[in-house]
Amino acid sequence: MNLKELAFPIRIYWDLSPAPDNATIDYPGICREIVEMRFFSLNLRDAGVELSSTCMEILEALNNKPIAVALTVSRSVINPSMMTRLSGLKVKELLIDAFTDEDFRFIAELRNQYNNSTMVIGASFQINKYNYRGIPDIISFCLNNDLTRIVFPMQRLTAKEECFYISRQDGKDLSNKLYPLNTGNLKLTIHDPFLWRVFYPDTAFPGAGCQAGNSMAYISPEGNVYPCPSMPKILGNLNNSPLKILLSSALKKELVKSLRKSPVACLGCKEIDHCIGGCRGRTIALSDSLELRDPACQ
Amino acid sequence: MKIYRNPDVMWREEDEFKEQAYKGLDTGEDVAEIGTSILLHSGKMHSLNVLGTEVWKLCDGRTVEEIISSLGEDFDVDEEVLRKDVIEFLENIKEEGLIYEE
Repeated sequence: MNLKELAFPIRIYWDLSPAPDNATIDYPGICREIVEMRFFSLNLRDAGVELSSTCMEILEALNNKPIAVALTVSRSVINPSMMTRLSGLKVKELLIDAFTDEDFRFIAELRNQYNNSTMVIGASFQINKYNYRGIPDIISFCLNNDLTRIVFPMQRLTAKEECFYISRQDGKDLSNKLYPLNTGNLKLTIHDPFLWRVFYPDTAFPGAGCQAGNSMAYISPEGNVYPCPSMPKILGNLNNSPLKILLSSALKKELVKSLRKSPVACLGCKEIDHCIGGCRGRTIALSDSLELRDPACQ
Repeated sequence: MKIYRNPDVMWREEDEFKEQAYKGLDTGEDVAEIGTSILLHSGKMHSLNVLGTEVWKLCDGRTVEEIISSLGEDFDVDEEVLRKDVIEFLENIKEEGLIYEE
């Protein structure tokens, strides 16, 4: 069916600034637009040591609205009164940034403590060149401690984060180590088709190709709107334009149209059905071209 | 047996495509390939055409017969063809976990 271009995305990622609030951005107005455009989910991230007033303002504005809100925070914000508050605001998923073994233990304990909560508690683990070899140990720990929800967030390449990907050989090695573990009970969120292959080498990536701008959008802490956290192509800034205008702009439509075509370098590749062109944002970040192969493929 | 939408499925109609499909129906075009709604369940996206969307919207505790009867009022289709299509469609979306029976 030809529903390849959605009127508006269904998932929005929104990172808040740990610095003082951007007073010029109309946060309640953006929340109204998000509801009006009928997004399915908001993935809100507040990386501050405390939850910002902006974050609470957004959660309150979306409370009881038909949108699933997942909130990612650092463990320093977690305390009993905050848990009650977030639960009352109907946060669907509470994801806690995990960097160390101690963080994972903390999350597992919290999850056991709030076992009966309707709010799903899980870990957000940003893979990078320093920690990727520890993935099998982390998965093993999670399986042994009933920590079943793990998100591998998209890299913020829009913020010039260092681009990281697992090489084909490292991916195979990791996959062999993961194979004996029964990951079937875990609910993993994997955005990268090549990371997907590490976990599920025999199952095609369950996506319809790069969804930047089509089913997903991203708001950076500065109010910049991008098609995806990993796609460094700015659509505009919320200080100057409403979200709805940016997400229905000719610029966005042209980008989505060009992303529907496979990269020229992938034409004829027998693996295209598996990776569906890979992460196009990563390719742009590293080469400024949509036509080259995702470096993770090599 | 009553049929219900799985409450965990998030969905919305795409107004522009819906309008296009209904215009096509008015002029007798084949609109089977025009997706008019999008569903998201367990990380997987599904797109439904105009008939699929209408069936989906009627999965609110009605029986198969009630769904077919309601669609018969809106779609100018042979009843047996409609019955076969609806039953097949419901089986497919049940397999995907999008609906359940009670």
